[in-house]
Amino acid sequence: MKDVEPAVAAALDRLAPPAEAAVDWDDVLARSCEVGGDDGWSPRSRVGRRPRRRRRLVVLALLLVAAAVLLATPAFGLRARLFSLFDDAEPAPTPIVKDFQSLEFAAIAGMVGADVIPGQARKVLEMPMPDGRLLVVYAAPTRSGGFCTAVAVQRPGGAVPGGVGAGCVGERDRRVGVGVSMGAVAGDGTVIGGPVIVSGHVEIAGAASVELAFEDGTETAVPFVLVSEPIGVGLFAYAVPRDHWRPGALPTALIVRDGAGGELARDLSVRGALDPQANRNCPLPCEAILTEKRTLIEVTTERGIPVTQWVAPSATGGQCAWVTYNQPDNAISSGCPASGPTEPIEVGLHGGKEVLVEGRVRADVATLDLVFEDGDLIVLRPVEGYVLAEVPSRHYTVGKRLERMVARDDSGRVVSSRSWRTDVRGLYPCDHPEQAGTYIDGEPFLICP
Amino acid sequence: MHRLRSLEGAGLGEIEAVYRREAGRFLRLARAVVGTDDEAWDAVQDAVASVVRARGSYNGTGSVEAWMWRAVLNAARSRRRRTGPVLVGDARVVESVAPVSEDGDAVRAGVAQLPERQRLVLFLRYYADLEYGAIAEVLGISPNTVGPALASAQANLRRLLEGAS
Repeated sequence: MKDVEPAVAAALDRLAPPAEAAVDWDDVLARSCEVGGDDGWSPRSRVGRRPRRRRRLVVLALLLVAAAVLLATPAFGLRARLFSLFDDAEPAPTPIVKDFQSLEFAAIAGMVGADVIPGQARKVLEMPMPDGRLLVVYAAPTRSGGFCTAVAVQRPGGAVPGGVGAGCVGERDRRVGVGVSMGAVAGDGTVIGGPVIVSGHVEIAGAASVELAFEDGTETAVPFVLVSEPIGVGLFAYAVPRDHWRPGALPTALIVRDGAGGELARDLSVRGALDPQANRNCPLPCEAILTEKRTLIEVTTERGIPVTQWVAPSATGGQCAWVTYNQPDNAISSGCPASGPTEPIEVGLHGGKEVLVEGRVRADVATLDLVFEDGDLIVLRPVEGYVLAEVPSRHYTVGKRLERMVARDDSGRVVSSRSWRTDVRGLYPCDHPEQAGTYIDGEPFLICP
Repeated sequence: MHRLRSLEGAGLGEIEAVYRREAGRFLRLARAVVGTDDEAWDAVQDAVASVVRARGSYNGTGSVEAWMWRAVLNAARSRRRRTGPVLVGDARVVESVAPVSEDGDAVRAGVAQLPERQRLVLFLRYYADLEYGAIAEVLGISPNTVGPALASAQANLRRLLEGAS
């Protein structure tokens, strides 16, 4: 390069020599947690963040009630060993503690994870994956008797990744919690983006081992560890080998057995999670007949961003609906529900650079009132049952936020109302995020109030 | 020398294409910032993943490449902060930095003493092979300041290296 002096160039070459990069697009997709389309209509579940993307990979925990995990202990394939959280485990490294702290700082009172104890986070499982990387599970108790986990994929000897995310289990009301993280699934059912990680927790008395059953009739032992109090559950995790990424050999069930080999529970959700129909990666609803798409509502936000509500018939019956944000060929939320809403108000709030009200209402709802803390009122009129609007920026500040939605029928009678918490941090944009905590390494955690 | 294409119409395929085409340079830039190959690779992968995640809501103007270079740079700098005093942005030279010779340490120490803008301009010019306009776009600075910053970076680095020898 002619404008970089040879001596400087030589120095820079010594600093970072030219090297072949290991291109791994699957890993990118996995880290993005983006691959796979949404198949359901669940706007509520997306409140507080930009909707649509399903987080699959490293962070499964956020979506799966499950707790992750896994191990590569001498007990691999055998009975679970009892793992003393504080005696046997090494403390989680700083990046992981920070992930748990993020949960703590971002959560609001009463939210699962708000009372996690990051300082008690421990590495509870570690196992080699088929590709040579390590699958590592960390767990931390909560003050209310629950627990949180984080699953990280890292290279041997490599740095511990941060930002893997963490998920929590609050009420112990599930005997088995299973999560599957992966990349994309091709139309023929072949998984094309890995790693495929099955993880979760078991809370069944007498559970001694966990197995994964496959379509080809084989079964394999899944690393399973019984973690002592205060967590007090069994945790498992397993990186599914590539041989089992194809139809005919895919995982079909997770089986929990007692010490004598008797079956205590069988969870079939793992197969559903790998369903190609549910995992197609379509920028717009896969089932939508796009030649018949219609615009229902068009909104231009205060920042000048076009946001549009679309509908189209579904190839499988019913109607597809989706919302696009700036890019008309890429939905930020979508669904092809087989039937209309059963609840009067199935509407969510989406935060980000602006706050959107999006969703649908039951057929008997003629108007939807948005009632704000300062008494302001905005009345939305559903279009074919859908509503889409921007919350004006004057309502971003505490004391002026949306606190209630009221659905009314043609006569003005209240059909239903729904309250909204106004103390959810990170939902409303702000110019000056506040420090909600300090990470273990001194870095401030900033979030909009 | 790379010119950057408009972002308009960018999709997953284009992001993947840029990634496959530029992976080596991404890695080299990240390596210069974070100091180790493992960290650099993770930074690149995380950066591209962040672009994939954000592609649907991106509403700025500019090019895919600039966006991705910026993401790589940010990811590397973030990782550098997280992992401690390993790299270029730090005035200290740390022993744990991977296989660098004493000569390499001297370079690292010299580069670390450059003002950040000069350092990043130099990196993007040399490792990324970006033209001035593209560098300006990645760093969010005026194109007119790129040339002077590059010249100053080289003069300062040369002086620092001569002083170290």
